[in-house]
Amino acid sequence: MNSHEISSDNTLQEERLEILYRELELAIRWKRPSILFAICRSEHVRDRLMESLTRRLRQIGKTVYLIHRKGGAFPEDELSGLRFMSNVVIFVASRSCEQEESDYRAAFAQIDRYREYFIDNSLHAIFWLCEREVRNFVLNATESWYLRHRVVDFTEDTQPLRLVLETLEEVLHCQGNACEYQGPLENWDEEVRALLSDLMQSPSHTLTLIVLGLFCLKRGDFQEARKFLKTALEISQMVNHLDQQSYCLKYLAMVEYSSGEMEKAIELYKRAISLSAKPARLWKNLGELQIQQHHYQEAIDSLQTALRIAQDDPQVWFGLGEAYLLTGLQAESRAALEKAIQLNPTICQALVSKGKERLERGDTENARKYFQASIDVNPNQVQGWLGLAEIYTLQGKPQDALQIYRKAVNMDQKSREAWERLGKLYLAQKDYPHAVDALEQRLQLDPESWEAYRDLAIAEFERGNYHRASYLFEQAIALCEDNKAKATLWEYLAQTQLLLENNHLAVRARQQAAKLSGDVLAGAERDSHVIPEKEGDTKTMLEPTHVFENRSAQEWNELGNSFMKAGQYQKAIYAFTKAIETSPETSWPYIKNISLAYYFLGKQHAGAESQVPLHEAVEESDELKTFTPLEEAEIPATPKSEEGKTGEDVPSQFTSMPSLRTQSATGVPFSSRLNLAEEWNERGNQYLTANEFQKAIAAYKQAIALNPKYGKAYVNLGLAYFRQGNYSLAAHLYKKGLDFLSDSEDRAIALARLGDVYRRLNDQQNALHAYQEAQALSSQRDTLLERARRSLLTNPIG
Amino acid sequence: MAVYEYLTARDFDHAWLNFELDLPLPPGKNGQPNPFYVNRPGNPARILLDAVLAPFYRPPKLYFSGHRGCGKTTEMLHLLSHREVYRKYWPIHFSIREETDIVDLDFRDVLLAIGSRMYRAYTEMGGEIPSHLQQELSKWKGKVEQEIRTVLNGASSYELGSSIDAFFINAGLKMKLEPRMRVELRQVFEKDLSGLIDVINAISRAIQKREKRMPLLLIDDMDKPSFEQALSIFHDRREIMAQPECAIIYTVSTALFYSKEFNAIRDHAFFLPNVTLHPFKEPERHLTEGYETMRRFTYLRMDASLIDAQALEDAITYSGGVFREMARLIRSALGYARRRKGSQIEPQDVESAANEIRNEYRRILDNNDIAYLRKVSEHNRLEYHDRLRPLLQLLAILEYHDKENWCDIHPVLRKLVHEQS
Repeated sequence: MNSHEISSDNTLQEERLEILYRELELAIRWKRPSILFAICRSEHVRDRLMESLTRRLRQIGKTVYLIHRKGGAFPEDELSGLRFMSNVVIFVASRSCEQEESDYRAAFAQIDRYREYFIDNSLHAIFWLCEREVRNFVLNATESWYLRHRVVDFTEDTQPLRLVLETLEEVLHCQGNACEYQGPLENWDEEVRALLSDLMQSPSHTLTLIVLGLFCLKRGDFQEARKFLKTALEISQMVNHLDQQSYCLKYLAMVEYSSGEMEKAIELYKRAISLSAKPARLWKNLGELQIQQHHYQEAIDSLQTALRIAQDDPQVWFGLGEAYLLTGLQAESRAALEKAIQLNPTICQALVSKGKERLERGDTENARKYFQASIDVNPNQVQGWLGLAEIYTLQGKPQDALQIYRKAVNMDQKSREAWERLGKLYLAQKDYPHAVDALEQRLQLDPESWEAYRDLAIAEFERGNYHRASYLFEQAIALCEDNKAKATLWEYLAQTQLLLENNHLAVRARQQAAKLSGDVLAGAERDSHVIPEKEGDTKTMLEPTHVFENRSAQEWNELGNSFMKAGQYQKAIYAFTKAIETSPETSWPYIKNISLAYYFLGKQHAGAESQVPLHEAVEESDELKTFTPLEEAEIPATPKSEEGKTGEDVPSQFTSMPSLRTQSATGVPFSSRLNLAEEWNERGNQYLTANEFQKAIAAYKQAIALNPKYGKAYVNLGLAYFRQGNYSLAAHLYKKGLDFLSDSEDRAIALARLGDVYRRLNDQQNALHAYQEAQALSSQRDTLLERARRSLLTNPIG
Repeated sequence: MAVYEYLTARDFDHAWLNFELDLPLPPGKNGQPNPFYVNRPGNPARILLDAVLAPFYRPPKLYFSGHRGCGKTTEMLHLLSHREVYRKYWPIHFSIREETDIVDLDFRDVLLAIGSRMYRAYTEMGGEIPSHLQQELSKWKGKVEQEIRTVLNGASSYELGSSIDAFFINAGLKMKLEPRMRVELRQVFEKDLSGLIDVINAISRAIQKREKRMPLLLIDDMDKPSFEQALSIFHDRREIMAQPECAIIYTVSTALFYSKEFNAIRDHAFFLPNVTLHPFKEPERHLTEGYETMRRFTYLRMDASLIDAQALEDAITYSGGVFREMARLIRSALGYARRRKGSQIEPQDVESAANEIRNEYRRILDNNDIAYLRKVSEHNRLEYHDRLRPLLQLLAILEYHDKENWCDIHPVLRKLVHEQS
């Protein structure tokens, strides 16, 4: 490969990149739309170019929002959200190796639907296409192609040798393939490049088979890798090519290593060593493997042998130091590690990595050894200290950990990790001002990290600085590329907007969250609870959901009370609602508080909706302090026997309930489950009116759980499913509801709805019966008759 | 872009803006033509103007078609700058995309959009709705809402808006954004189509009475829905679509224009061809009028000092007489000139820009396409071929009209076709 060829080709790519950048720059300056297409030879090249352009755009303060088209789906919701974000350049790309041909068609055709959306909203977008996608795109999204402003082709004039290399590189990187070789034994890139270079200089079957074997290994296809490498080994044995045999054995050892067959790998290395003319690296690899297998003495022997051949190899010294450390030979270990660092100053990091690896496995003791060793050999490097602090946190010594983190940030004020951990620990300690300061520092050091924005947003949220939190969440959303994480971020934003009383923005954010999560049920659950914390992530790691959602009902109530005192009634309503959702069993005081909040907000009708009489609220108006913390309320537990009662022995309305304080004083029984069921039913109605079906369904289900004989809740639940198109389930629920409904008007409504379901199910006969029954029961006969007539006329049989 | 000034560019960056492919060209204040508007030789849009101004017994419904980028929207907007048009009509221009979801468009959506836009445009301009009409509209609104409530299973909270304005806006939004609701609303309107038509006509009459002019609706982007949807609106429902008592100009796609079903209304249809740059079968000869038109198009947007005369000549040739393609070529050429650090666009810049477009086609066209294009290039005849429609869509084939209709390939493709022959 001629280096000049590569450099001239790189220059060409830089020039093309400049065209894209310049087009965007002008469009941004003139506030006009820009629809660009970039055509690349491969995804690997494309990703590199995207990265490069992203860097340049960030320098001029632009945020890049990457939309990955996956399967046939084009994320419409993401786009509709972007309309409201200025300063964004949209990159649209796909992962082709995850897609079938038909998926392309669907995805591209879907883009056509949005062809003018980009223009109408003056968006700046680049569609990154790989060469093989272009024709498909044009055939399936002709309208969008027609609207292109500029097509920049990165594939022209590529030198043939570079093309070969890029193609091989592409395969090796194997974008989108989850299973990749992760073995620590080789410098993969170096190895592959050497092999490719050999292959190009002297093409041979054996080398080709070895390369193919490596490709398979990289892809995680160990079976195929074994086949290729064994065949290569057989051929090289036949021609008695010792070096190639050694290569084959070494790579076979890597395959076994990747398959978890460590002892087999060790044996193969030994065989490779016996055939190799340059076995130093093989000895080193063998030694490392033996350390992993806890064969420390053998590892020391192997590494010492390696040193005799290559005494200046820092990695061998490092391995030796490690082996000594684990056998308790501190002085020898320190000497070997110091030698390794002397030869390669960056190798100290490896000790920290090992420490982290042990920590992840729960081996705190050995982890401490590694961290301590890294500090011993270089007390000025931060990572070892951070590791130690983490161990302290795990051991429940946050003050010690804080002390170390503070030391770490003083040692290296540019350590992102140190600031991050310090901030998170402060946050966990509820020291919000310090948390904000630390996380602010971290963000400044890492302005492209969505996590940095998220963490700071959470700290600001906790401090009560909602406006800033909202801005920071938006930035995090713009930078985040993972849909699941993004869904969570939208959810946080929704909560923040709620507290800012921007209800429409909150609804929009929540919709984005629900749609991105891709699982409506999960979305509903998230509303009431949280995304579970990751396993083993319970230490200083900040789980934002923990901060936001893991409040107890009492804590939510307290938060509500503080909002009430501050006169922030909307926020108070939100907090009380969360209290009810968190603990429906003991929600009476919260309902009461909500009622008062509504009252003070001047929403008398809303107060009425919560079924607490306003005059009671008024009576209590002089005691705002009665937003009593729950522990003062002494609420009796709900008697289990009340479940399913008809309501004769419990008040059917809240009107007769005393105020919270009186209640606590007199010890009047706590509200019945039946009243709570009505409350949930009403809540469901409100959600249904707002077309928030999942929440409505969850609320109705809660109502039914509280009162399994609550007919209206069944019928309403049926309606929610009906609206979602789940007609069979809706029919079942209407019928179930009818079992419990006695009021003829209610029954008429349920029957009419049942008729509608039958109609949708094309069961005209039953629809007719249902409508007739409904008509017979209803006082609004004409309306129902009309509905029945029209429904049946407009939906003929068949 | 808050205010666009339509000033002739004196530097490359401004020129880049002026040659934006999606730049709208609305008429200026007081109905003046847009400064960037270019009148074509023997402007075919004039025929449309004549049809609009001709005396009528029933308000005209006209259909305006043409290939992509040929300037349909510009000509529609230009109609608004004619004094005679203003004298006779009370014009309203809008895109159907603003009112409906064009992916799922139905004649009922179009009718609601017509009524809604007419009402809103009139009230926004300060027009007063007579009280009897207000009552009539309220009655109709109440009826529709009652129907919707019934269809939606008695949901009592359902409201489309307290005022008529809000009603139209909300109903339109729901038709556009809520597919489920759209189905229900269509059911409601279908039940009382004559009611909807009556409402449209009542609004139109109210406007006519006060303004002494008939409303003229110029509905853009009606060429965007699929062929099947367009057919079901303009052919299957042509009688209903003719009932609104106001003049309407719809843009329609070339696919619909050339379909046999369109024959029923072809008398009211007008086609805007591309600017003809060479005579039939004589690609080497330049037609002065066509070149002059494209030259004016360029010089209105960019000072002559920014482009070499030969470069402009080449760009015009490569544009094939399609304004959008001309803008694309100049924009790319501007980029090449800038990178060269040149002070004006030179022929080499235009050549690079043409090369860029040629390479785009190179990726898309297969050998069969090339063979067909070669044939078209030789005979300039529009003959049926299964690739004709897609190639017309991609502008690989361009259509012209002088004495008769003929076609040619996109000029940048000549080299490609030639090198493979």
